[in-house]
Amino acid sequence: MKKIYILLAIGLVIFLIIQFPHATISPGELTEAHQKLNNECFSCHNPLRGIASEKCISCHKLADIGKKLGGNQNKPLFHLQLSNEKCSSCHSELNIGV
Amino acid sequence: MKHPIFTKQVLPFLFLYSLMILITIVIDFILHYHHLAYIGRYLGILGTCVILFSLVYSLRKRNIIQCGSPHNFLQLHEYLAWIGSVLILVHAGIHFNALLPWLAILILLINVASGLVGKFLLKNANVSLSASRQELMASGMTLEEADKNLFFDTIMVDAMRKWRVVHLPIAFTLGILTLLHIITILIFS
Repeated sequence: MKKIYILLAIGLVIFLIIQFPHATISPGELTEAHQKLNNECFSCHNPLRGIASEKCISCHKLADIGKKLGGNQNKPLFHLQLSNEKCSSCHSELNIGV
Repeated sequence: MKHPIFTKQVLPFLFLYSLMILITIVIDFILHYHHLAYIGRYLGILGTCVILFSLVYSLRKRNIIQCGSPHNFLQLHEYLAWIGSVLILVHAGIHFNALLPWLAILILLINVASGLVGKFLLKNANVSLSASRQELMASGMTLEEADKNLFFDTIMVDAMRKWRVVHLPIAFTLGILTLLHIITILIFS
């Protein structure tokens, strides 16, 4: 009898992962600007190594960040000073309730 | 007292279960109030370790380890699993995010209930039921009449007995979900 329950439990988990892979493990939707990456977790995540800043920078060039926002174009761009920092230290792109 | 099992066993059981939820809410509130909600992350790890340690009872029960009294290990399992569950509930907080951890919390709640039924209720309820039956038979009733009189209690004890059987499979399911939760956290940390 117990074996049946255990097999049912394993079956339920496998079903969930196959049927709803995204909803099963994703903690929330991405911010509006990154909506097109909603189902592509590995666009930003490196398995077992966290979020790779190189992946952010491959789209968002440090020298260009802030330029589109207007303002004083002669002012030194803030992000240029942060080449050794992790982007995710400041930016969280997942809308997770806390 | 018309239904001694309900008042002496079910009500205390409900109290212990509700207390677990209440303590969780209080701790969660205090952590959020003092902007210390991040501590909840580590409470999940601590709670899991506490519950895993409590499973030493299971090893003793199956004679995988042979030292120590099984009764003491059972008590240790009850206390530690209850404390560990509170820590994990605080870890979960009241946030509706991914399905996997929420399913794990649901299974945890069901498992605590089945565990409490198993030990806290069933043994006492069995003793209480047979004491009431003896008492009625001593007052001149036949066994059938006594059982008819204790119909509600008999049904409740039967339900508890069935509920207890599912404790291990539910715990196993919880183990699988917890493991998957940990793996996904490590992958997507």
